[in-house]
Amino acid sequence: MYQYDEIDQRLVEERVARFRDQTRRFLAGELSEDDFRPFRLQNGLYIQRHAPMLRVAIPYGVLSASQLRRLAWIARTHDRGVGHFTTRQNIQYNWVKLPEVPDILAALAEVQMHATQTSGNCVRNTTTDHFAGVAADELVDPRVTCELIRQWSTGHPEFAFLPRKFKIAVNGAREDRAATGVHDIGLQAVQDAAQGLGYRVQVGGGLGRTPMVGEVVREFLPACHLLTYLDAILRVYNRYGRRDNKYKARIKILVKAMTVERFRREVETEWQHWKDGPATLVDEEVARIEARLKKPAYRALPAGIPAALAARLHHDTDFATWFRQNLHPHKVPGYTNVVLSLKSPDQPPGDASAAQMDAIADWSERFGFGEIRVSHEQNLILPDVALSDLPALYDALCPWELATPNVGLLTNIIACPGGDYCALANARSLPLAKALQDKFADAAWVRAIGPVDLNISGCMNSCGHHHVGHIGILGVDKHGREYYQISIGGAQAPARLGKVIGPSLAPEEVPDALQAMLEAYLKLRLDPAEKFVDTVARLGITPFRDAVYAPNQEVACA
Amino acid sequence: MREVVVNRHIVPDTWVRFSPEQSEAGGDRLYRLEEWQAVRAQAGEGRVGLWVETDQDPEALRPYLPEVALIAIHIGSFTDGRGHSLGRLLREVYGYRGEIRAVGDVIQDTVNELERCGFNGFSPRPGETADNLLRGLGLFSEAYQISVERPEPLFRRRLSHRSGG
Ligand code: HEM
Ligand code: SF4
Repeated sequence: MYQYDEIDQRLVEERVARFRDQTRRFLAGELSEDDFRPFRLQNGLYIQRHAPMLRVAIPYGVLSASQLRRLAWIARTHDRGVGHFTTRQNIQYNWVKLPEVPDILAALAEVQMHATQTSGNCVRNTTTDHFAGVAADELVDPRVTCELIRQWSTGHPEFAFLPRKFKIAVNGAREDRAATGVHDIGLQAVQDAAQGLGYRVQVGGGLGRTPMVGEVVREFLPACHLLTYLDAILRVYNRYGRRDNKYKARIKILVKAMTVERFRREVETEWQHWKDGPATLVDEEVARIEARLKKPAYRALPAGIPAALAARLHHDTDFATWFRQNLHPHKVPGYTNVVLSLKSPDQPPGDASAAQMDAIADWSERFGFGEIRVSHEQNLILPDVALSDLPALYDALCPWELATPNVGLLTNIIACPGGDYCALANARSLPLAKALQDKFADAAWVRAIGPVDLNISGCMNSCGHHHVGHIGILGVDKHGREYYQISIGGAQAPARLGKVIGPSLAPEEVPDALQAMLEAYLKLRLDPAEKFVDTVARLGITPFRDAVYAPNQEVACA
Repeated sequence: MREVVVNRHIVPDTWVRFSPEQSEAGGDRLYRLEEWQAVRAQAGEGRVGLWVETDQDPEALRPYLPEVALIAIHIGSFTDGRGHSLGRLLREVYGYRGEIRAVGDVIQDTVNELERCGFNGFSPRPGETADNLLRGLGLFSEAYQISVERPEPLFRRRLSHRSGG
């Protein structure tokens, strides 16, 4: 992570002081509920079903061991001992007490963290590839870009009251692991032979009730113009985005209404006033940030599998399964990235206990360089683990339920908090996730199915990304009862939206419906290399719909 | 007289909305753009200000900028952030040097950002006080971004700091 200098530190402290004063005035009755709302949101504080929820930013998903320990401490001291890692590289605490929030923010500031702009109609926490800087397929390290954007967006005076929330994602690898197509702005780093580093700029993607894939507004933006160009996009949006209807207020609606051609012209015209001005980036700043991103001191290790590891792989099939499923290639020979699944059968997806967080912080120091990553699949990652350390790490993980070998598989369920916590929910997500874990407890069968992204959202707001799940499940309200609508064929990258297979189902019908679809897939796939989502792309949804609703039966809308 | 904040000082509000019935009276008058266009030729003594909404196109104001001492941007609800862009455009693109005043839903918690966007006058909403507005200004000792208040980004200051020793 980026290490603050004295100015960065002062700015977060001044922000805490401001919020402390606002909270004090709210509690004293000097600031009304309505007036306080936008300011508490901009500091990460929602009011949910049971209690206030605090959302803390994990900028570009990178944590140090001491930061993770602090998150554990907050869970223990100010919550019920649990934190929920979200699809947006944030952590949420579901049981905080409003008067304590300024103290929590101060505790975060001590370890160079904040909850700034994690909610509200402003530029939110920028997200990226959770393997940034360590992935084998990386073109450029997106963390520098993300930190530039973090600084630019933090307390941006002009964009504190946008028409709606604004989410930026950056990807620097060949594979798009940041879902740039479904963000308000998606930046894909491009290395141009003549012009050097730049970005392909996509605007107007998003999920929610009107899911859309973003449009390319600029094929190549030289990196030095990043901030002035972002300013121009945001200014056009701030001035012309709809404010009369919050469901039509996202930038995607503006881009559609204007057409991308006109939107592009507006941005380019606006940009001319600021292009090449003082906010144009200089190499020294990029170098300064690079130097402040802690770089691990990798040892020169032999490539290939060390003998002890090979032996363990040979005689321990559980270990071998985990090894195949939960690792991701590292760019440095002899190292790997280990995904710690927060999706054990009894765990609400993305939840980690304070004790687990402390343990993970310890392992990050023992087996790595004291760094932890948060993935938008709601898992944690230990980057930089030497291959020779894998057996010891695995043995450490097992008793903590952190070695479930299901990364990328059906049971790696991505789910929003749903009706158990969220006041906007139509249906609960967590009991359904549990029912699916129970249904698909046969790990060998789940592995035979192969890669499946299963995403659950408790309502149209789509916090669980169900539109881009290979299987997406959406909670709907049918005459006051919880029902679930199933869609298939979505994908994160290149972003593709799933198609609804038929009328929504009662909660107890969902596990069987999924099983029926997956059994149909096993019969229909060309070979085991054809993933579920590829079979859906090849054949369309009909055979899967038929598997769920029975072919000849008239589909009666319940 | 009502109190407002101008250039971080509390001062009496001398501005009065124009009404056709009292058009002969002097003093500081605030006009809507159409009103000013209509009476401009026979305007009498006194300073002129324009009263605009947050969705005002600054281009339409351009011809009048040299003759108006104040632009009052009416913020209907403080969560409407369009005035922030309008302020910056007036200052940084159109070079307007007179007073830009926030009127309407203006409270202690919003003036800091408005000031950074080029506003130097603040008229508190009913129930809010000029004293409180003053307290809400200048809350941060630094800023990352360029804005009216700091035309250079922090990274350039960091740089000159280091190269300057
Ligand atoms: C529990 C409190 C939460 C509330 C009240 C909430 C509210 C919302 C709302 C209203 C939207 C729709 C915005 C729109 O369409 O304009 C939304 C979208 C979204 N939220 Fe949440 N959310 C919550 C929790 C979460 C969690 C836990 C996550 C991550 C797991 C999350 C991630 C997202 C994502 C990824 C989107 C869709 C992307 C987009 O904005 O287009 N939210 N949320
Ligand atoms: S998808 Fe709906 S239910 Fe789930 S967290 Fe978002 S707003 Fe709440």
